[in-house]
Amino acid sequence: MLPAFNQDGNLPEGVYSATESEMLSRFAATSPRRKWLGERLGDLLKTARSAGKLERVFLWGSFVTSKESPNDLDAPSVMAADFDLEQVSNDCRVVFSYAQARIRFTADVFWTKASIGQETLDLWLDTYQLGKDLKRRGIVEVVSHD
Amino acid sequence: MIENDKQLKAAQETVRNLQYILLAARKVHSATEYRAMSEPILLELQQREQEILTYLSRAEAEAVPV
Repeated sequence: MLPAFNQDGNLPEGVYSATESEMLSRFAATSPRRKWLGERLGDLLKTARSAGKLERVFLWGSFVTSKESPNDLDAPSVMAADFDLEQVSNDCRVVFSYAQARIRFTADVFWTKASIGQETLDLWLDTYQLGKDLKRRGIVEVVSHD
Repeated sequence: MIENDKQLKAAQETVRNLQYILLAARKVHSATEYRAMSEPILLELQQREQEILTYLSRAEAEAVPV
């Protein structure tokens, strides 16, 4: 279960697991902007999964705070070690292009492959727990099951 | 915006971490993949470095009161 926001309107520091429905009911229901971003996120997840190599998806940034109208989505993802961008369909490739993903999903899509290693991935997740306001805040991992 | 030396140190650590992540990523992604995946990290790195330079360009007497 996702924890309550702290006094700064952030999740407490840490990486929290939530199913897609839990995540959407918590972060994509409380304002028209959030509902709209939730729809973009649904499209993003569906398109990313269509590559067949999506292993993990996280959310960080203002969407997973108490901010009423977040600017955008920040969605880092980890693809399987044998993921090959050259083999991805044109429709799916939009996920892996920074500029195209911003236009279609209103999202900064950070991505890598599992072969980068758990140590580096942990460092990445730790680094992005420091917000633009230089305060530590939590990250959400979207999981398939409880 | 960085307002004190403690925040400066946190921003400098973030820069070091992002550079480490990019170095690791260069080893496991093809050239095409690396160009695509590094873009948002490079933008973040640029933004953090700019914040550090902005802070260091001010004399201590000009620091924003916390």
